[in-house]
Amino acid sequence: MTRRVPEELTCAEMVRLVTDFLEDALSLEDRTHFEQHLVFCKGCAAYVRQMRKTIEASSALKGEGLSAEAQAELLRLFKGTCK
Amino acid sequence: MIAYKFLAAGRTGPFTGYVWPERQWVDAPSSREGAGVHACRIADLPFWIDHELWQIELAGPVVERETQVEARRGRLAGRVGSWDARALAEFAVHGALRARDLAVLALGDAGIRSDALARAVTLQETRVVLESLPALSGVPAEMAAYAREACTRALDGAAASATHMAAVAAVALLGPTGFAAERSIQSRWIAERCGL
Amino acid sequence: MDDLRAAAASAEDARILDALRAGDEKAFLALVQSLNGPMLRVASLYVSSRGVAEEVVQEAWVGVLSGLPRFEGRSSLRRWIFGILANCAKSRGVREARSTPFSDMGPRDDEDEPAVDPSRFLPPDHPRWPGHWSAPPTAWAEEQVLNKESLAVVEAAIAQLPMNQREVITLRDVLGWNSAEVCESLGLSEGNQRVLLHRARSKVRGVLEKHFGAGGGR
Repeated sequence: MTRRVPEELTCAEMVRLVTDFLEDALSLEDRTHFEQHLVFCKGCAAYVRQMRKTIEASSALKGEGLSAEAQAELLRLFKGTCK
Repeated sequence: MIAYKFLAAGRTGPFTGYVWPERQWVDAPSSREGAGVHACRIADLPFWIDHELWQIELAGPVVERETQVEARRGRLAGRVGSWDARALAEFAVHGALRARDLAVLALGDAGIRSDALARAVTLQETRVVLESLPALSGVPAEMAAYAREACTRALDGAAASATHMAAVAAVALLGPTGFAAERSIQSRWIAERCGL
Repeated sequence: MDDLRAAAASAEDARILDALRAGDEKAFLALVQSLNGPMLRVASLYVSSRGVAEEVVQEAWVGVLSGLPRFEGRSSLRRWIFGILANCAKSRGVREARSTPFSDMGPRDDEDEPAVDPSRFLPPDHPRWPGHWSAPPTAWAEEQVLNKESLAVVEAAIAQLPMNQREVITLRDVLGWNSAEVCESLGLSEGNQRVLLHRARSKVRGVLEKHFGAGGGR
């Protein structure tokens, strides 16, 4: 109720909008308010940074590849298909 | 058009991470509205506080919006050297003491004398006085709380936060126009401090 | 920029296709090796074990090889291969679900818990800062985010997500596909994809935060 500056975003709203911000899907007006909030709010700046780091961590996950036998089997198959 | 731009340390765009070259023209990455080169008029400065302040030359059509301008091209023309760590710290103090001034006004309106608060010079002193005020309620209580919080932020070196609090406190005391009025006082403070 | 990249990608596709059709074993192995990890990851979304996922990837390659002469390049080579893979994996997943009493595909994506515990924000009737942090997040020791232990935490957090969130975060963040590719591949609208991505990322962040012990803040 006592939102002193109605156009400003609350931190709870920032948390809801963070993916839209990172995906560049906010309206220009919302994005400006989002960025202004980041300037004055250390908590939200930390939150956005953590989201970016989380994404970076996901992209750093490594999967193992196929086993050597499976690859050899695929190569045999390939030779069989292309004569 | 000549405007200003706040950047994080190392000429880094605070939201994009883009490292601005010095004195070279940079084109907007796309023609989409919002994807251009953003910059500040003097009145916009308090909204975008950061570690480095640069003068930026803008070219192409410039769109003026409420708290920023946007151009298709920009070139960092030179750094405003007077905006340094010290200026940032002083700006934080300015915000906190303005919040204190507003609290003094609110207390006066309520018939509460607060000479010690009005006279306090340092942030620590101000905070001590704020904490020793008699139990308050209503607007004076709220204004004292804003001032106390702003002192705490300023003591942490969080200039953007302390000055934002002053602007929000101004709304609590003066109504909706208080915000823009306080931001305008802050922009004049920056312009004067940095000789813009 | 995007057009340039697309043109470069399709030229690369054409080169690979020519090589495959000419029976170039090195080109085939290179393709297998580059897609192998991502393919296993996608297959693992739909089937129960690593072993079954390997079988599914094998099966998909069989489909790719037999389809190769007819592939017309209407979509990118990679997208085409992953399309075949997803079909193989999903039908295998369905068969598995029929033969096991409780399929462990994770919860469905019902109306979700919030991204951050509401008690970490000041209440809506707070006199000065309604909806602002009461327990703000504190900065992480960022050099730890990419260490082995943290990555294992991230891997486990993703595995716990509801299926549709897991699909989106795997394709977008783990494999690095762009949103258009993910929408097409999963049949989602942009908006829907973003909602699922948001929930997924928010939860993984929350798990990492707990891992770093910063839960309550000061």
